[in-house]
Amino acid sequence: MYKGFVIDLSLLNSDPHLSQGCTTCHKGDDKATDRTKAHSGLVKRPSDDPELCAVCHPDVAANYSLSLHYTTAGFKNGVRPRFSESEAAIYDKKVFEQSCRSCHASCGDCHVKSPTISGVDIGLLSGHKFVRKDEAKTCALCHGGRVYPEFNGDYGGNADVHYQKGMSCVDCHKAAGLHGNGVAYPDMRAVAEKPTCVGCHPAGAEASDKAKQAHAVHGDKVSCSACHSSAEYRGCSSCHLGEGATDAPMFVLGRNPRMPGQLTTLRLVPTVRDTFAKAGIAQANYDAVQNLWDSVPHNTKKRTDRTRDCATCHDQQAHFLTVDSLPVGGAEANKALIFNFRK
Amino acid sequence: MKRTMVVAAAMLFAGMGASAADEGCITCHGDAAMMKALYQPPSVAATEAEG
Repeated sequence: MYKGFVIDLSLLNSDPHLSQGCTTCHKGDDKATDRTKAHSGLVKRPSDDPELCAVCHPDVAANYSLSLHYTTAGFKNGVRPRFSESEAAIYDKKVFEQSCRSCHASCGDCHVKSPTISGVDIGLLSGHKFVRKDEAKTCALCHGGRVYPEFNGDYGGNADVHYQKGMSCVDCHKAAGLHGNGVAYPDMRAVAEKPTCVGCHPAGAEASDKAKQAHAVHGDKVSCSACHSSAEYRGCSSCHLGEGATDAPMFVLGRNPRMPGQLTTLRLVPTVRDTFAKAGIAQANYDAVQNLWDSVPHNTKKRTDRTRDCATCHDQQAHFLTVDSLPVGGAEANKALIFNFRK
Repeated sequence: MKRTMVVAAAMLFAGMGASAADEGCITCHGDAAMMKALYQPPSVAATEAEG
C-alpha cells in the first residue's frame, strides 16, 4: 500500500495543482531532512477547508461547504429528536463535532486521496493526480459498510442490475447532488437533486403490459425498492460511542415513516438505547423515534420473488414487519411501521 | 471572501518562485523504493467496526 503515498513526478510539470509546491497546501517543513521535523505542522487534508479550493473553484467550493457531504447534518438531524434539550446540547458539544462530524468528506477525499476509514489509509488515488471520479477508492470507502457492497454484490450475493450494466455511482448521483447546490439541507431525503427511479424509468414507458399494470395498480402505495430490491441488505445496530456497531443481514417491508400509507424496504439504524451513555445522554425521547427507516437498498433487479408472484405479498406477506420481528429492545415507535395488509 | 483573496494572492506570489519539484518533500514521496522502506501498515483495533 506504500504506492498510495508516492507522488507521480510527471504531474509536477503537467498538473497546475502541484505547481505551487507541496507546502503551500500541506505546510510542514520542506527544508528539513528529518522525517519528524519535515512533517511537523503537516496538514494532511488541506481541502478540509473548502476555501483553499475556492481560490480557483469558487462556485463549487461555496456550494460544497453547505452540502451534506461536508456538514454531515443528516447525522445530527436524524438522531436529535431522541434527545431532550439538555441532551441535545451535550450531543452538539461532546459527540457531534468529535465523532459524527469527523466523517465529513473534504474535496481531496474524493478527488485526490481515498478517505481514511477505521484507521485504514490506502493513500492517493493516482499519484496525487486530481481526478474527477474513482468510485471504488472514494464512494466505496465511506459507503462501504452498506450501500457499495450491496451495489456490487459483495453483500447479499446479487449485484445491482445497474452495476451489472456498467453504471457507476455518479451515473445516478450527479455532481450537483454530491457537491450541493448552495442549500443547507437537513438530510439527504430533502435534497432536491437526489436521483429517483422514475427519472430514468417513467411510469407508462414500461416494455410489457404486465409491468405497466403492476406499476399503475401499486402507484405510490408501494415504493420501487419494496418490489425490486433483490436480496438481503445490511442492518447495523448496537452502536456505542468509541466501539462501533454490529451488523446482520435483513430484509424488512413495512410502512414508510416519511410517507404514511406506503409499503417500503426498512433498514435498521445503528442507534440503540445506550448508544450515547458514555457521553451522559440517556435519550429521553428514545421511544418516540423508530429504529427502522425507509431505505433504498442498492441491489435492484427487474425480477424478484415479489414481481414474479402476487402471492408473495398478498398471501404470504413475506418479509413483512410483524410484532414478532420488531427489533429487540427497540423504540415503541417501531410498532407504527407494521403494515396491516388488506387482502 | 477576504480570506480567500489573501490565500489566492499568497498562492500566486509564492508559486512564482517555487514548485513542487524544488521541494524536499518529493525526495521521499517521489521515490517508490524509499516509500516502500518507510511504509508502516495500519494497525486497526479489533473493536473498530465497519463504516
